[in-house]
Amino acid sequence: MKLSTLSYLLLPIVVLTVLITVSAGAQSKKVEIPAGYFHSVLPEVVGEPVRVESFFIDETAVTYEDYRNFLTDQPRWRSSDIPAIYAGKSYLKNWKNDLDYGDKKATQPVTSVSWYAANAYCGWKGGRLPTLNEWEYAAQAMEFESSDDADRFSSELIGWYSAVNANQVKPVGSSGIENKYGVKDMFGLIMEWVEDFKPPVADDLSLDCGTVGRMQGSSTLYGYAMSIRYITRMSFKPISATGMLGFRCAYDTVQNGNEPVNENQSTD
Amino acid sequence: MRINLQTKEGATMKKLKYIALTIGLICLPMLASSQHSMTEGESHSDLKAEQSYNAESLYHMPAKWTNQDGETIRLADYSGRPLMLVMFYGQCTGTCPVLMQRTWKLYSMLDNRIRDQLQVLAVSFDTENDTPEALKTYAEYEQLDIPGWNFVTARHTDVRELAMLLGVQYRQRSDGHYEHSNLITVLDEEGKIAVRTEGITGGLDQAASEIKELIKPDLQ
Amino acid sequence: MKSLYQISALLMTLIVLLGVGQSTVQAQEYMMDGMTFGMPEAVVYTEDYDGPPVVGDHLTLLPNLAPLEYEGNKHHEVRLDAMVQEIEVANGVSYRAWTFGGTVPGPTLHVREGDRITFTMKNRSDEEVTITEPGSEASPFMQQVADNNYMNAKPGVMPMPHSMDFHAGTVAKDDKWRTIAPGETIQFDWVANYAGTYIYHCGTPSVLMHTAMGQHGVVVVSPKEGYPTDYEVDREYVVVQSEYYLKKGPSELYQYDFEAAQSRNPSHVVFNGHQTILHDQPLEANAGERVRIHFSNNGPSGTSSFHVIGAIFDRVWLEGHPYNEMRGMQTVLLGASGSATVDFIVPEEGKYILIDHEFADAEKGATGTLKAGPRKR
Repeated sequence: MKLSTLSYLLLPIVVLTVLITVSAGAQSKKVEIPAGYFHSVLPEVVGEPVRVESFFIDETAVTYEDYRNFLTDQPRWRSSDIPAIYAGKSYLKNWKNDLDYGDKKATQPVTSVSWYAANAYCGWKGGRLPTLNEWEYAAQAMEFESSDDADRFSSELIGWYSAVNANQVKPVGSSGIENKYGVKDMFGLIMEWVEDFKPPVADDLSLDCGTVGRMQGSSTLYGYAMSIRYITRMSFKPISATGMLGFRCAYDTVQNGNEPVNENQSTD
Repeated sequence: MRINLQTKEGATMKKLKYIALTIGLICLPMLASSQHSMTEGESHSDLKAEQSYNAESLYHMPAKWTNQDGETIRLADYSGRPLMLVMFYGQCTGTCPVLMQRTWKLYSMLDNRIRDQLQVLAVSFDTENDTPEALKTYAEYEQLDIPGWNFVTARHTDVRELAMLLGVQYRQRSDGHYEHSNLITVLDEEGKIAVRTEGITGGLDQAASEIKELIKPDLQ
Repeated sequence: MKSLYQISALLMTLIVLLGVGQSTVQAQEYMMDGMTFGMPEAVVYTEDYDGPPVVGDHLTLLPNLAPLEYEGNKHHEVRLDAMVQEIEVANGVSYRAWTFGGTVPGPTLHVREGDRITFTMKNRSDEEVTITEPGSEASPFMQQVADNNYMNAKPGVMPMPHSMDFHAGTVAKDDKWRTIAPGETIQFDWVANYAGTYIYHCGTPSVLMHTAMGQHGVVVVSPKEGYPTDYEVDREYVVVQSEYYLKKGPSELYQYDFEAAQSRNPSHVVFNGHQTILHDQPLEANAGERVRIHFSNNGPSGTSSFHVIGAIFDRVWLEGHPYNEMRGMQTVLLGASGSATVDFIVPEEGKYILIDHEFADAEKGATGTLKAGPRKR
């Protein structure tokens, strides 16, 4: 208990300024997440708060229309051109053709994309995929009036993991779930790729009956929901693509040389 | 005072409210010092390499790499020749020098005619610090500034992609250093993963003989 | 063009698995006490398979058990795909179940002690799979579902990782029971070394969630030498007890209630997956007949005190093993994943109630009917 309250104590010390910048183009807003600590459910760090440096993250997940723009500019990632090294047959399986995702999907989060495609998209945008810790830290940055409210939310989240309907994904921004910095839909819409989706301890955990027990360091309801998410991610291969799996991008606060790809100049 | 998602009991929180300030004052220096010690010792924990999930040619990779001389390289440039790949970072004082020397050892175990065919690509994770200039200095310092060896970097997402293709795990710690797998991979002339050898200790005879088999007899 | 890539993707995956993958120690088959151990390493691959999700002659819908029409041992080819089906579990209560083969519990596999099984499972949780249209390759199970879709199963899509753990198999779980991602297929061999009735279930964490969501069933392994009363048995059925932990979701559908599952407070405790299935479709027998039930408590977390109102178990083989014989039992106590094969004589025409004599469970649904006709001989 002492350890799990550490982040709680430290949070107010971090200056909680929220900077929202609007990136070029029609792409959604980027939201700055200030540095801080969070609790992971991985056994190597149970009880120990994990430090995360500040970073920017997309306010919402990448949509079908966003992704179509990427495909228009980067033919290499279209279904008919993508090498087998980067995607399996489930890649964009619900698209009518290379650049046509069908009706009424423009603002829905794009799914059925492989890790490689998501990584390439974010690189094209001048960003990268959020790391697992960044994603979890941002997702967890929610506040509730009482621990009962927090538990109620977590309970609904577990219910959601058991009742997703991948055939009816709603538009981005529609989940009504938002962290305290304004990042939307990290829960309740889809699951999202992260840069290191299979953390190094995945092999040791080996995904068996005892894994959840070993993961639940904080033994909160939210800890259980988290372990379901970690485990699901760990089961993926980089070419996995499912109707529930999309992504959003992250960006360094310091320049790391990852400039956006010039729209007129293909990487080919 | 608000409750976050991993708060177990509200009651405990309230109690802690009164001592929060005191503990906060104590905790901060403690945290600072623990981080300091990590930087100092650069306590390197090695990450086991993942299984590689692909058997296709890596020559499909479109990324442009920049070497220590500022030249642009693509993996497809190596088409028709085997390529030895190793991932590292320049500011690494832990296992990387050993890994690089190991790469050299494996390379030097091959006879001249094979070495003429084999190219070496050392790829840095550290897109922030490993500029071409830094890589040149590194290669010279490690006495690896030899023909056929390229020290390269690229965009962050390209480095990540290559690591994923090879099964190399790495992640940056908050002190700026990286935890990473120690893996040497050799691609065959078509760009497919043909040889993998992991770790910084142990014999390299098997890897060397596997590499030898990759070279066409008429070229040997 | 795309299909070329698909083919190469499949080949690629196979090559990776055979070649580049860091394989575990190569297993060597060996015999001990007349049993076979040391199965080859499992293979995980991707395939374009969109055929029937249940394949194999000896897979049936509960409470049926396929006859073993062959002598000695057989090598079975069994497919049981993992997929999502919206099913009804009680009047007005439906949820999107995670299933093996489309029903909860999944199909019952019947083999003989010493049989070898080559098992294939594709994780089809990311595709709609219809289970009421059996193809020519399909198992008898699928025809039985098509004829009697009591749970009103409808396909759903909910991509999740899954795995298969056969309690009847003796293998290294980190190889054979490993978790596969949506779209992947796993194939492995196991030998039914021990006679008895064994549960199978998904072993992917949260294992409580996966089993409570419906991923379990049974394998009946008949003893090589049979049970002593085999020639006197007139009827043979399989009954599986299990719990659901459901609460109403935002729509009409119910969903998993984590807190109820954690505190072992099921919303429904059922026989053969539905609160009323064994009353609407009672087991049948006649007075003076000897009935055998392979009864399994699949949990995930509850115990069962199985009793048949109006009968006494003439013989009970705990776990279904012929050496574990007991006689004259009123109730058999079974923990989670425990089973028993019971014989009883149906005394006279009328109704007999199968029940979990833990009445809290019985009143949540753990009852069924055996309807007995008049004596025939």
